[in-house]
Amino acid sequence: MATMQKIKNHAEELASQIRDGSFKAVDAVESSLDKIQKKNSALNAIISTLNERALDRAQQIDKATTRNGKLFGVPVVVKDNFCVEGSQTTAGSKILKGFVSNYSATVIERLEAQGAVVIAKANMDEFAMGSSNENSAYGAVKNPWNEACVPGGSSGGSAAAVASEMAPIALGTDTGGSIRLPAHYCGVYGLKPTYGRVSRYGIVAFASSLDQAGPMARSVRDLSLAYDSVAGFDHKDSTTYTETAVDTYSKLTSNIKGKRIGVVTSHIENVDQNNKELITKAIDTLKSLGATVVEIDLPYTENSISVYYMIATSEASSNLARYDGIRYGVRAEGATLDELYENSRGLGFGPEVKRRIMLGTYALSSGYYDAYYKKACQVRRLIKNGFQAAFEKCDLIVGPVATSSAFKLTERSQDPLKMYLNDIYTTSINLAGLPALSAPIGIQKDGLPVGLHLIAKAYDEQVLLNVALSLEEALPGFERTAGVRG
Amino acid sequence: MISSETVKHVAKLARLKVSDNEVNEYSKQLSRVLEHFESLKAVNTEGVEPLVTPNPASEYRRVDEVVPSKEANTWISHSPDKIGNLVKVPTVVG
Amino acid sequence: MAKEYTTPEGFEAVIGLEIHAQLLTHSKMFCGCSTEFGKGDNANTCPTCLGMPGALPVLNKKALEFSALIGLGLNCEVRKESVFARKNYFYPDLPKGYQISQFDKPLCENGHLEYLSDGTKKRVRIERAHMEEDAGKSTHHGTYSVVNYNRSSVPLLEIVSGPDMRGPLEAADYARAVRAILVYLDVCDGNLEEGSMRCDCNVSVRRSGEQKLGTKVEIKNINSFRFIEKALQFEIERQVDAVQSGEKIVQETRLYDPDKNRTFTMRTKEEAHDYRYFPEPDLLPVVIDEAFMNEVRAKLPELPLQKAYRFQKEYEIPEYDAFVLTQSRELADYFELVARSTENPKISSNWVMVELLAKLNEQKMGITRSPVPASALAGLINLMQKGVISGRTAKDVFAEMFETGASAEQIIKEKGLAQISGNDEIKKVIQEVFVNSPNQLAQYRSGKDKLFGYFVGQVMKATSGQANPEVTNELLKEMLKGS
Repeated sequence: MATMQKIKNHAEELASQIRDGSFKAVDAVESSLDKIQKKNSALNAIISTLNERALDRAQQIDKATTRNGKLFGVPVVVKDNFCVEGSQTTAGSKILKGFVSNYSATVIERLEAQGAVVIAKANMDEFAMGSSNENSAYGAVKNPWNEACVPGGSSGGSAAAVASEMAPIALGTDTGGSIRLPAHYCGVYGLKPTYGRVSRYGIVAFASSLDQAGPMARSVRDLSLAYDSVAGFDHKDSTTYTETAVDTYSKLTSNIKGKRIGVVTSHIENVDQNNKELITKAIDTLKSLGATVVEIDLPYTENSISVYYMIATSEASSNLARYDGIRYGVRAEGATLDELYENSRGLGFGPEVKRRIMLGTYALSSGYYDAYYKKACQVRRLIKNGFQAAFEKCDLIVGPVATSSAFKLTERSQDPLKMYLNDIYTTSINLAGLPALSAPIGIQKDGLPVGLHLIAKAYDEQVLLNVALSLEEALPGFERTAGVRG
Repeated sequence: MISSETVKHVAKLARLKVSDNEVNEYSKQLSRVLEHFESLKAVNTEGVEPLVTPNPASEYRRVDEVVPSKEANTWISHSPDKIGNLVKVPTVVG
Repeated sequence: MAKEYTTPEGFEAVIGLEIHAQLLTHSKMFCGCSTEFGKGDNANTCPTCLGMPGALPVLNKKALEFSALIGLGLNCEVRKESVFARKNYFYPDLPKGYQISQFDKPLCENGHLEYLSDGTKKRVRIERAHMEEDAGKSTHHGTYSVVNYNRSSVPLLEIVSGPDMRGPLEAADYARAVRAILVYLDVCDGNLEEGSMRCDCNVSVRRSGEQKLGTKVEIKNINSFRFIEKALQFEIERQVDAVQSGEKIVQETRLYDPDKNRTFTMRTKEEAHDYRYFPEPDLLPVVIDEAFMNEVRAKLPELPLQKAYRFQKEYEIPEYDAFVLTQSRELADYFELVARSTENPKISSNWVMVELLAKLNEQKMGITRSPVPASALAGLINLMQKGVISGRTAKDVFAEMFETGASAEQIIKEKGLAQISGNDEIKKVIQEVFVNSPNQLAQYRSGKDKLFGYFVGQVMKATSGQANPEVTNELLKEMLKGS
């Protein structure tokens, strides 16, 4: 639509124009829904749209007399594991097909309190288990930059939606890299906040001590607005941090003089040539902006995959026990109760989910608990300590998100272990509970985006956003949105 | 590393129906993954306290007050099989 | 009544009890749903206690307080940092597919309970008491079952004793003693029939003198103290028979059938559960500081044992009486009120323990439903002490009070039961008796002392038993002396 292209299509500007009445929320929502209609058959980023609900809300916003709200009238896409009252939430699985919740996630309530309009539920790896969004019961998502490639997972739909301009902002969840990896593969910003910053209430749980919801956007300012809208203590989630009000937006600055940037050279060495060039260039840019680079060591990176998969699958095996077809979701036939359980779950869950449930069940089972689950938790503490030691020498850590850009569909899906190893740089951050961000730093020779991984101390999202902003302003121009047909 | 028998046992514990083909496939795949996990054994964790929740939280506790909820049928309406407002299941043995 | 049960010769029974106490909080353990009984099917539910996607638990402060209070009441160490854990298994009344409980690091440990059983003082270790949530309730109807989640996530405290009991009666009495503490603390109803308190027994047998423990059998959900005793009696016999005939005892869970007075195997084809306990990641460890413990300690009332010792000291009543009277807080309060009003603890304890309890037991009533309130009983005793009625009359008046709920004064007035204590009145009666019994008078005065009782009897007859015995005796002695 012409009107949408007039503005820069960023949430910040859109909200401002809707607040002052120069742009209508209904137009913004209709434009987004229109884009989804045009692009989704190619990308399969969206599982369901909330047309009626969204337009209703948009109309109310246009009529409202009180016109404040950080994301006033802004269309937002949310991953399909966020419960939105009155709409379907599938978590990318057959077992929840048709499940319409009577409650919304706290994060959704907060977004809506800032005037945002949830327009669609994004496709995702089933129960957030995957790194490529090829594990969805609703079909794989395609990367808007190259439809033969994966968008990353598990928040692949959210990332593709933002990259293809279906909406300026999307919400995803990150358990082992599920926001940052798709952000990197799709050339958008993705923030995983500190564990405890954002409420998990109403989000379909994968791994309770690792999951964290976070925003994806095409600019740092938008990212900051979205983050501020959702973060803060929630009395419905016992793992949230005390601080109630979060305001990174008003403190955004691209002045990073004197910031100490920690780098693990071997991590960058491991990355493919195309990615390496861009990463090195980005780090040089940071130096030119007045930051200093310090070599640091993160000794347990190699172990993080094992620790992560041991803990995540253990927690998941328990979190997914409730999907039994008894009180909600899809129920299969069964002459006895056990048959009912086994059939419902056997048919309702996809293979990756079943694999992880079994792995987790095994890790917790009698005789294996000490060797597997407990051991993993001990190494987890060592990983956290390792970061704390590194942060004595630097203010944030910078490196690759993954060893390459987006790979081709089906390239790694035959071998679970190969897929797991893709998460080598992202999982340790969830284990340590730290905040991290993927910032697009360019398009490599194959035409695929590259993101830079920024990691900070617990609760220091501000430095991540500031450094990302400095790069946004200083890096030479490159395409920020995927040129998708239509 | 993880036999078909074990896969069947674990599937039973997790109430997952697995076909014979799946059992073999999972046995192979899970064994590969578990082999990779063996590397953890080499890490010295003597005296290290396990970490469950990575960051401290607010230690908020609920005051003992009733919070009115929605009507029973709101929640029970999701159940695939029910009698009135009760959830119906095949009989439980024992 | 059955004779006192003893374990078969040459054998020893080893018994431990697991008691689940439902805590009297207004809302559930991890959500704000009401715990109120009797609401419509699934009326007290929400996403959290139904295990819906994305729901999370938040701890009820009061449940923690009550649990710590019980821990103190059972002389336990209350941990500064305790941890919630998930107990994983599949069952329709368990909505999340796991129960949030405590495994390593329970809230309370290493306590003990002293109580009286069959006249002997017993002491049982309390290994641990841990917090957990209740499950929903499934009702079976042949080919299908239905589930009500009102009870799901109601707060429970599971109290685990050491295997310290050696007989059915002391086990039942232990359960009674735990109940007394719970009711004293006002944290649990202690109602076995309704299920606000549930009792599981673990019992094994071994030959006398053997150190090794026999195979343990669990008997679940026994819903009365009497049945605890009977179930254990049966089970001990069954196990001893098995051992004696060389059979192996199967480690299993059994139920008790009160109609047939036997235990039987729970029909389950399950192998032993592998609960796969791990620390609950949705809840942080429960940290308790001194301030919290001080608050809890301040709420601790005088407990049964302390009260019993105080009664012995303050009211100078024997240990046995003190233990009986402090069985329940209501009974103890009742007694104290009477004792203080009458200023005669000995008589008060007699009346409460003998007269009152007998009538209550007969009518199967608890003390709280006594038709004679403490003040009324005190009133009766005071009238007796003042000499308005005799002891014998008092018993009759009491029976009437129990029946009708009328006060002592009312009954005495209506029936003209007041004791005759006036000297003149009694002298008159005695004179009349002398006139009507000249022979006996002559015989007494010539030395037949034994006839004293006859005269007493005659006076009583003439006054329908209402002559004051002491005054009668005094006057008779005097008047019989004369010639």
